[in-house]
Amino acid sequence: MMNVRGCSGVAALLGSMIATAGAQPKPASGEWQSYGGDKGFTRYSPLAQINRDNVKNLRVVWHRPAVDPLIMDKFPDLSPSNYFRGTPVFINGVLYAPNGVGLVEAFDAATGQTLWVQQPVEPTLKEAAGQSTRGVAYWRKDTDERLVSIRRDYLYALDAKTGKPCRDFGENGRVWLNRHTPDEAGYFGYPGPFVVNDVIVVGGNGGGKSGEGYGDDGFEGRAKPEDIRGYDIHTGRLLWTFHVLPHKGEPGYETWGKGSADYVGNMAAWASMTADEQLGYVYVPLSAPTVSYYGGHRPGENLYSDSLVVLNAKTGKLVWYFQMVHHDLWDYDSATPPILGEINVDGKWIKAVIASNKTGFLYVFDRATGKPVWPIEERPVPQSDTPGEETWPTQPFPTKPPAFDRQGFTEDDLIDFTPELHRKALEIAGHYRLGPLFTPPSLMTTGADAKKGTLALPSAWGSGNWNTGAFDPETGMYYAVSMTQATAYGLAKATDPKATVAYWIPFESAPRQAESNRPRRTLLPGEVEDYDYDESGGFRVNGLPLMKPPYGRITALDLNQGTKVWMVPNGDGPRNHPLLKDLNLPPLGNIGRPVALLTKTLLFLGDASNALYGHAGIAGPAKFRAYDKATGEVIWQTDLLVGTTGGPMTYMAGGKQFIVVPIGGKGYGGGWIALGLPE
Amino acid sequence: MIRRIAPVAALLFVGVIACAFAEQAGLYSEPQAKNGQSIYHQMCGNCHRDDLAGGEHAPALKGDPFWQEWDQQKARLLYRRIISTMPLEDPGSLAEKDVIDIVAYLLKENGLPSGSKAIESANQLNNITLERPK
Repeated sequence: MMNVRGCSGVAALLGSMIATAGAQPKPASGEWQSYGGDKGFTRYSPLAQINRDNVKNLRVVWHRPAVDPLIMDKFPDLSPSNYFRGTPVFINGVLYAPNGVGLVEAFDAATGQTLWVQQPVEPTLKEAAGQSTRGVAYWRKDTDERLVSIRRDYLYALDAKTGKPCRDFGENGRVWLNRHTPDEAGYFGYPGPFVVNDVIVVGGNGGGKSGEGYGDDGFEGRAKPEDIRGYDIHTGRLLWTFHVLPHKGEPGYETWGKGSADYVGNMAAWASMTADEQLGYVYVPLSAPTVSYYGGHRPGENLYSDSLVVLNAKTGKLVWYFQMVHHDLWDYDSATPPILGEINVDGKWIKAVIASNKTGFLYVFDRATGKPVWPIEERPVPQSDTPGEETWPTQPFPTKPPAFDRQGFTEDDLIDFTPELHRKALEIAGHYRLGPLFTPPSLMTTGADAKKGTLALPSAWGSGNWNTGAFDPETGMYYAVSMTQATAYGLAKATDPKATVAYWIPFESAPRQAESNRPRRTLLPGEVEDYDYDESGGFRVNGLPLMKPPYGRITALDLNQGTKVWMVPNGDGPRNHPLLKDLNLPPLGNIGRPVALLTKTLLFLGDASNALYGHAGIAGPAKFRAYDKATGEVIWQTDLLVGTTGGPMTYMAGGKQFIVVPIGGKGYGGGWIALGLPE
Repeated sequence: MIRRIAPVAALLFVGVIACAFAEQAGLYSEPQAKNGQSIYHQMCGNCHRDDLAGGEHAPALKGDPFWQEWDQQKARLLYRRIISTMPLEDPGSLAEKDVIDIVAYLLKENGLPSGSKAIESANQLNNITLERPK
């Protein structure tokens, strides 16, 4: 066979390769082929050199800065964000990852030494500047090896051997992804691209600014649907577009009342997709519509918001779907990679897809047919009394497995370590409506029985998120990583002349970060800041969470049985707080979004970075821990300079097992550390 | 988090603080901060809010959250963070002068005093250590 050097081969050669295309080669043993470990995002490796007996000897064997000096030396004013997301993939002895500004770097897996760094298309600060993404996608056929990445508004294809652009891909190696919104919003593809056989599938945000800043709040109901797109791996040509909001004439259009289908948008896949390449299916988790907290302008179920949609990756055609939240009013995105694994239920092997969202439920299906493994029941839920709102009467409740985090808010959930803390918590909670899961947002009112809205658990940040989930294919165990944090949904009339929806959550109703601009006091070692809220908007009482712990947890679920096996807090949490330190409390759990890594016998999990959450709930230095995955027992832990900002991964290089994890934090920046055993 | 410092190091630390205060006195001018406020409202306020209180997906730039990150850091690093990461949809697009003025506005809002002279270039920020006012 003719040797095709990287992606510099001519189109004719590529054409012949398409004609002879077979199945993707099986990954070599020990490869970490996607940043979730494999195309099913199990975050699992069978490696066992590092085990419960020697894990205590792990040490940092190399580290790399978030951006290679080859770039920093050229652009000294580059300052990558602390939120350094990139988890490497490992292919044939080489690690590939997006760096702190989103350029791809290749480095030696044994030493961490640079092999190549993607160069900006122009030697300017403007072109060098950017954000990190969670990972790159790798593709190979014969000797053609490509890395596919998303950076700012572009999809890139690079030669994996050199880091040079594949000139036959798009325009000089890249394709413009911008969604062309009326407010000229940028495109954001932090999950990176996903490759299924010869198709690059792209989700990502960029549907609009919602009127006031990016995100899910605001009073602007008009946006672009964040459609899913498929591109040819060889040429970058757009192959298909899946409408996350059905067009007129397509099934599902009728689920958008009052003509909202013609102008509402968002609903991105902003967690990674997964794929079964034998079936040729890609599993796409979708998020909430515009705007997330009020839906009076969009009556109906609102397909395909908050759904798992399963597409034929070659054609983009819908195979099956399941909507996890109807007519979302809470921003309960399906923000979790739909993990693929085989389970054995009642003696029958099932190739399953394990979906989740911010509610703390797992939704388990036969991944070929969409049939739920255990019944999912539509149950009545509380209804809204906000003018114009038409709450959907029911929501889906999985009967198995049990939810992996707390749902709904009652006074029994309030912190009660001391009578004074409980009194203050009751006082705060008394200003809000409380209720079970799916209690809708409510109006802020005045008068004798004034309320500030609905106090909800989970919050819009979710108990589960992109970080949640790891699956052990040998045991059928699923490990949910989640946090417990309340939020307020307090609606007010949108009186701004630019508003296009009737109600919104004004920023003034949320706990404010800058209100903590008050004289500083000396903190004890390990003590948390005395905020009335944390940096993600969660409520606090004397710097402590409003609710009972744990605030961050790991839950082991047996998916052969649909049962919970164990739950442990992840980290000490605020147990050294002055009000608690004499109570001899057990670990309370740290909030945040850390990512698990499963190996043959261990579960590795760090503390989350303060880049997103400040120090809320985390006592002392951030740690990286090894748990016995059978029991949840902490076997080993070590201090990190700062918390983790992406997922850990593992591989063998030179006969030695390594664990690499991205870290980042305030006053530090970001970088990768590699842990290994001594020689 | 408490900084643990040995006695000798503590003396050096006090010296550094004194130096930092001297450097920070009158670091920027009022008109410069006012212009920075205007640019901030136009370019940054949507996400970080006009009162710097932060939004759902953008950190607060005032008070504890600001000083958690920038206390004892060089002012040039703050300039770098802004010019190379913001605005989110087009990082690297702001002019040097505009970023300097935004820095001046943030320093003002975080309690550092103004003076008679404006910051003329980013290089002037190289040796300035930011110190939270007591």
